[in-house]
Amino acid sequence: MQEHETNTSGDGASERLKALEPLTSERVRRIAALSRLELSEADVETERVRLAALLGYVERLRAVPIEDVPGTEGDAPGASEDDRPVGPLAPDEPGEVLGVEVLGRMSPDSVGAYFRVPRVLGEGGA
Amino acid sequence: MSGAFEIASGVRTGAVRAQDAAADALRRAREDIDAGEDGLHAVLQMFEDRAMASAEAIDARVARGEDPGPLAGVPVLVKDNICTGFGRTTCGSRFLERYESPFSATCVERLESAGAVVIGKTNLDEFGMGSSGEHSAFGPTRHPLDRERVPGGSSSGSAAAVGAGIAPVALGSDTGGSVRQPASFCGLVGLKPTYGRVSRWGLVAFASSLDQVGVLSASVRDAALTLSSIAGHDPRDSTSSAHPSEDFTRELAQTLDGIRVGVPKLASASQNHPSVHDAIERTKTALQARGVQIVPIELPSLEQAVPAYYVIAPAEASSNLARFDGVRYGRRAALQPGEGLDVLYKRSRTEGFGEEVRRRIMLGTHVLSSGYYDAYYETAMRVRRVIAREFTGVCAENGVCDAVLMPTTPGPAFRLGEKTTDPLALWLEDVYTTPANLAGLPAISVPAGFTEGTDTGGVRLPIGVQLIGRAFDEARLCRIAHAIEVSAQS
Repeated sequence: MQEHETNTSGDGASERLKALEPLTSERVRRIAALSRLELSEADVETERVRLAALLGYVERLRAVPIEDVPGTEGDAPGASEDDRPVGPLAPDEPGEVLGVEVLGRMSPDSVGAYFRVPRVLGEGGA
Repeated sequence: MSGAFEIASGVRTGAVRAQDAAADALRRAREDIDAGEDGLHAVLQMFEDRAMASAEAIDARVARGEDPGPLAGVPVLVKDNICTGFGRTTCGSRFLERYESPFSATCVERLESAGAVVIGKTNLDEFGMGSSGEHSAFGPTRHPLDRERVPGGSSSGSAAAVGAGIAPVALGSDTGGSVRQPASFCGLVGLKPTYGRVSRWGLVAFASSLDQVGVLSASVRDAALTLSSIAGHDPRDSTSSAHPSEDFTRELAQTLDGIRVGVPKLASASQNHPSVHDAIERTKTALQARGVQIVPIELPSLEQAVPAYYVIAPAEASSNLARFDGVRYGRRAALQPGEGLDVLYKRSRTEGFGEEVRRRIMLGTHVLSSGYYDAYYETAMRVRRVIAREFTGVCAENGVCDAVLMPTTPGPAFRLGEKTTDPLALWLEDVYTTPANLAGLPAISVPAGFTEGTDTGGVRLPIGVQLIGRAFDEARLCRIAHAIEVSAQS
């Protein structure tokens, strides 16, 4: 449902420069849309100021020398476990399932084996 | 109120009735609920009939000569982001206000298998996001010693309830300090186990690589006793460790001779409340008196933990909370004619999530976005690895120390509303607790004194200190913490 503009193979140097650009209202609206959250125009500015302050604080991460430190690729199965905070994942094997009836009971609106949703066709961005 | 160890010992020998212990705890929980805004707002719901039936069954087992388990008849409260197959699991959120889980978390199953009696669920910062207990959709929790102050968070209700003596033990969850920080504020022990030590199955995910179920209690013994019952491998949690559970109380009475405790130099120390500095110094002196060697250590990247945490945790939260869409779980917003699925998603989430959760989702979405991923998420993950290396370097078997001593929080419990308009101020509450989560290491907060009260409105507020240990070395961590506890009480 939620959309991420994920890009794991970006150009690190250009991304770092982009991240240093001021957070704009347009970018905040885009983040809200990607997060599937409504944001009033008044809230856009409030959130822009707060998110900018938080992201500004996060900038101090750049003080840590990390050139020789493996990133997320170091968490791949088989990578060294010496400094991995999270142990290796168990094999992804089928286990117990809750079943359609239970899933339906958890839903705010279901019919038989289906979740009921509003009209989907003809919408953009859903 | 007796502690968990005393209650269980009494129930197992027949000297105490589980039904009496449950009834007493339920009465105290009822008083909190009935007090409404005048109460602590620690307990969100109670399971009176179920708890009394469980207690009756335990008493019957004792009467038949059976042993109901190490937590026999101990009344326990459970943070409301831990699923129970009875009652509701709200996560402190409007989104899940009426959500009923079809199953109980592994840790709840194990508590009950050990003889504990689950009496209710506790308030929390929504989905575990907060360090004050003020971000619950159902209203803030209050500090048991000063109603104008926060009990800490996000396990706010668990801390306030144990601090007020409603129950001797409560489960919490600790993603960046959510067990240890409220424990420190409320004068309790807060134990966050090694990542993977306790199953996360049934813990509603906030940041999956950081979340751990933990224990809040009035004593180290009770925390260790409870951890012994809930730890151990669970095939239903893909991150569960193969390490079997242990008797974590077994080393409590042992001497500390030969133990080495590292104390890092902290760049932020000058900003801490003076009572925090005093508590650390007293603790060092007390440990040395018991044969501990205090070792100065360097953890150069320690204070980069907060910025790393506040990239990684929101990133994981934005992904985990994507499942709350108004279709599969919880709240669904009302639509106008012609409005479609995208509006349903957005309105359900906007109405269902509180401000702090919405902000963290947006932050997480931003740092994972194309064009920003390397600059934020990838960088934070590398810094996380640096922090883990620094800890494992000093705490390795052949390292310079067996555990690290540092503050749990920069200061005592703060006033309600004091930090609600400044998210960054609230983040900085986590400066000493987030490193253990990032490194996946066990950590415990233990009471180590009080403020003088002169700058806290005449109220002497508790101050905790924290020990961080080697992975899966909780028994030794509890042993050192127990010595600190005894010293602070003498």
